[in-house]
Amino acid sequence: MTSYPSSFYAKAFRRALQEKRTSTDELVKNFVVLLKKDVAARNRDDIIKGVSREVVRGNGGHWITIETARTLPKTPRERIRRLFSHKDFIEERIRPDLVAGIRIVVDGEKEFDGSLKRKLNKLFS
Amino acid sequence: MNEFIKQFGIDWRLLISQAVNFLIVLIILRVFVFKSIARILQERKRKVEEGIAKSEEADQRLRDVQDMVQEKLRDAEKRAFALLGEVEAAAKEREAVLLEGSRKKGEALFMEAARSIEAERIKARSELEKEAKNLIRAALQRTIELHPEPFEEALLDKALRSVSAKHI
Repeated sequence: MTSYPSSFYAKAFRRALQEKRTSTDELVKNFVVLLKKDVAARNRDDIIKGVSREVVRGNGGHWITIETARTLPKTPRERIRRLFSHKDFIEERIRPDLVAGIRIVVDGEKEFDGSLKRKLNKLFS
Repeated sequence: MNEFIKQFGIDWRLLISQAVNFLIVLIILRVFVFKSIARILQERKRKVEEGIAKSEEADQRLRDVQDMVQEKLRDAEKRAFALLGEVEAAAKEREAVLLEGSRKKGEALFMEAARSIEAERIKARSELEKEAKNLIRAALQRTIELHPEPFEEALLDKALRSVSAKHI
C-alpha cells in the first residue's frame, strides 16, 4: 500500500469539493471509506485535520488554535468568538503547562502567547 | 865521582845493558802495547765524550720536554679555565632559561587554575541561580494553581484586548 503525505489527501479532497462531481455528503462518505481502507489509523487524525484546514482555508477562513490551561468559561469564549470571523474555525486545546492565560495560533503561523508560562519563562530566563 | 859510583856498586856495562834492555822493552811496549792501549783509551775517551754529549743532549731534551710539558700544562690549564668559564656561563644561561621557563609554566598553571576556579565558581553560581529560579517558579506556579481564577481572568482579559488591538 502506497503511503501519501496527509497534505496530499487534504488537497485531493479540496479539489474534489471544487469540482462538484458529486454531492458533498457523498464525497465525505467516500472519503471516510477511503481513509478506513487505505490509511493507517495513526495517520487518520493528521489527514482529517489537514482536510479540515483545507476546507476552512478554501472558504476564506483561518484555522485558529486556542490553547488554555483549563476549560474556558462561557464569557471569555464568547469574547474570543467575536474576535474572529464566522468563516474561521476555532480549535480549543487544553494545555495545563501554560499555568494560566491563553495562547492563540492563526493558521499555524501567527502566534500570540499571553500565557503565564511565557511570562514566567521571560521572567526567569 | 868514581868513588861515589864505586861506593854505590854501579857497573857501567851492566847499566848500559840494562839501559839497552829497557829501550828494547820500551820500543816493544810502544809498538805493541802502548798504541793499542792509547787507541783503546782514545776510543773510550771518545765514547765517554759521546756519552756525555748524549747525556747533555738528553738533559737538554728532557729540559725541553719539561718546558714543553709545562707550557702544555699552562696552556691546558688556561683552556680548562676558559672552558670552565664557558661552561659556567652556559650553565648560568641555561639555569636562567629553565628558571624563566619554570616561572612561565608556573604562571600559566596558576592562571589556568584561576580560570578553572573562576569557571567552576561561575558554573556553581549559575546552577544555584537556575535552581533558585526553578524553585521560585515552581512555588509561583503552585500558588497560582491553587487559586488560578484571578490570574486567569486578568491574563485572558489582557490577552484578548491585546489580540483585538493587533488583529492577528
